[in-house]
Amino acid sequence: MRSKVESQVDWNASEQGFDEIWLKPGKPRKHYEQLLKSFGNMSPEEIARRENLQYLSLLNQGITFNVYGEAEGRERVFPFDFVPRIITAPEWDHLKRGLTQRITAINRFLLDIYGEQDILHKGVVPWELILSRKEYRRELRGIIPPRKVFTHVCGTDLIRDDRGDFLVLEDNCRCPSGVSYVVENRNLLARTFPELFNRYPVRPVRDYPQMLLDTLSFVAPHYGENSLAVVLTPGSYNSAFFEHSFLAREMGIPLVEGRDLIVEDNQVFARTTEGRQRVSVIYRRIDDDFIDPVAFNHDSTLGVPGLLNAYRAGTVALANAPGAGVADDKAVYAFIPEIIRHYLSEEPILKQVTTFTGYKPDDFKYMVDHASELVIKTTGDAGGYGMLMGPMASKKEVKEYVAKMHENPGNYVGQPLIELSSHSTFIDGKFVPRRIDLRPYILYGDRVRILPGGLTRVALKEGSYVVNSSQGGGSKDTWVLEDRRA
Amino acid sequence: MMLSRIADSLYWMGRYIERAENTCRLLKATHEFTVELSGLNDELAEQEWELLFGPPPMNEGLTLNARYIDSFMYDASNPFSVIYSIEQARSNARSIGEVLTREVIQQLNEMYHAMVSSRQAVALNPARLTDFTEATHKDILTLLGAIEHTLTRDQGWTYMKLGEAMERTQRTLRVIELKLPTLRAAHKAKDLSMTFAFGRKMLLDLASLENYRRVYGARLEPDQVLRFLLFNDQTPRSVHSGLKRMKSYVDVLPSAHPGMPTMRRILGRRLAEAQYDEARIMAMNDLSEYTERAYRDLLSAHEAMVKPQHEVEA
Repeated sequence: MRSKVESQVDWNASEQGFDEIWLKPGKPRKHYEQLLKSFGNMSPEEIARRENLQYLSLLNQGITFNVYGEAEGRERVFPFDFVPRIITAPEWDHLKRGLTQRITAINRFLLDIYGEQDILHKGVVPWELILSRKEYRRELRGIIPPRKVFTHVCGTDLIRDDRGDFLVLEDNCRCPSGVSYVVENRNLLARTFPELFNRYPVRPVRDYPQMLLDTLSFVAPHYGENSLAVVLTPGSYNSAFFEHSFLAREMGIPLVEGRDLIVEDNQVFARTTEGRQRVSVIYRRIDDDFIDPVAFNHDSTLGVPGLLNAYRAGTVALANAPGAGVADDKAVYAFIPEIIRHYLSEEPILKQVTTFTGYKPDDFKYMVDHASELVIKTTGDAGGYGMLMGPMASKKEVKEYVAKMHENPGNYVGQPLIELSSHSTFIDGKFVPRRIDLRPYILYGDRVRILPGGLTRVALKEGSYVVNSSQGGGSKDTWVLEDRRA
Repeated sequence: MMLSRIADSLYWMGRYIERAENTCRLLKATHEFTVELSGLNDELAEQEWELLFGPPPMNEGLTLNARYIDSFMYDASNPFSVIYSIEQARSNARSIGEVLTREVIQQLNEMYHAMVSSRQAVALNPARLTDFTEATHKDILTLLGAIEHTLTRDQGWTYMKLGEAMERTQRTLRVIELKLPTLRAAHKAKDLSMTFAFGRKMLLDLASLENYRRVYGARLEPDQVLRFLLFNDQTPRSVHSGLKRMKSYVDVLPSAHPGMPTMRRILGRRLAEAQYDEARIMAMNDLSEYTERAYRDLLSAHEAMVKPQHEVEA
């Protein structure tokens, strides 16, 4: 519906779900008023000029991602929408407390299931659930990672329900990507729309690489004693290669590929122009399966033979630790509130979406009977792949998907469709509502550090709920405001 | 300290950027030279293109000059084309972005995207080929400026410069070797205007005309041109200058690289020869014997340099 604000360009509020900007049509939320005034002073031509400048800037700086399976035009610019998403100080404080609680519990959970398995013995989380997850690495049982940290970096996806309450949609405890876009989005917006920042006390995000390096050096055995911290990438054809390169450059540490490393006497070395140099911590952006062809996938050419032995011997820290992926399994997600209660004796601060897990017969029956009303996902996939959006799917699609579910019920979870919140987004010369989520980045080392805000992803297609970059999503700068009263 | 793979990529990046610049300049120089020459002697103009760039590319819709320029500017399947070199340099830069500056990455990307756009424009209007060749050449020089003024003088920079100097010196040797017979023939035939034209073209091919004039004045004697391009240690594209630069780079690079002893030995020998044997070499009946041998030696040095380290260790 059209909104009446002083503007040379039309603004439209959302008719469904929570609207981040508009309290009601024509009346913006207080913390967006100044922003709308700034846009009101710009002509459509001026906005279009700056938008084009942004695109060229992203392209020329090589801020792109690779799309698998596309031979031509492999590099794509991750679409950036210049209307920033604003989070108030009280909202952020609530999120910060909730995320800190969550990562602390997840880390305790991982230490436990690879150690004493107290939570399984007590039946809080079923044995069969954990032992049936392919991300649970039995061979790592009994190995305590350096400084007892499993999840050094976690990206937790959040959405807002109809009432504006934040809900956790999923945790990403393996190699969450996207943080480079948080920093680059801020750089880009500050350069192309500097006046938007007028009178907004926006918390900075550019120190993330320093925060990450501090976290990595905390867990590195003998770090600094003539040893290196490195970022391990699968190579320049990986979809997130820009980010790997960005993080290495910003942290001032080498970006290595598997072939650059060698393991000798359970020590990891980098092949350098001055001979071998010891490596004490690896921020690896390669999945467990491919990290060491001796221990896991024998066909992997991306990893480092013998790396897991070095990790076992405690001479090198891997971030995130191998085996951490089991904590972000979509079926394990359903138990996170219980996990928080078990380890911290606290009630979860952040709510999450009701989840039916296919390995429970009753839940599975419900999922089958209500497939057309639910969002059903496979437990191990990410990026919006392997998912059924029941309410949007045709009868045929539902039927085919349900048939597949019967092949491996434990591999599926179902959730009611939550109406994501919407945020005005500039598309084809108009500000229109599009659904968004939020991925904050949480670092766990000597303490918990959380980057203010995170990556706001936006579903650019009208009516779409899928925000993933690989499926037509874009991103926004996310502003967390300082509390001026403090 | 630097990863061996990154050192290798920087070396190649230096080579590819230099190769792109050389090709662009040779295209411009040859185009200008043959435009004038074709009115006088069509065959000689064709011969000049063929000498430097091989048989004419297939594209009957274009003039001879446009065919060569189009192919050596925009044909990505032609490993000697500018776009091929830029793609390779960019691909190297992408894989080692963490050791480059934003300015270098941005200029490389801008140049590449400008070339992609101009390729489309050229397809519609081939008359713009020379404009775009000029524009690309300027872009490459801007990139070299970004490298010169933003990169720190560490091992990475030295490896890149080593690649650049290797490419340049080999190119100089190759151009001299290819063009020596025509220059000598014109001189022998006492054809003063053609001697002047070929001598001038050789200097232009190697961006050395103005520098030559500062040393020898306007008169173009073949022996002086050759002496200048081989032994003057001040002009940046002479063989002597290239060897001196390479030697200064390998002297400061770590010895751990398995190819370094070969590289140092070859460069030491060649540089000593350039410094002390000028008179003997210039007196040789066939100077191409020297250029060919020097070229082959540099090729061996290059091969020792790019041999993968893990292969050597095995």
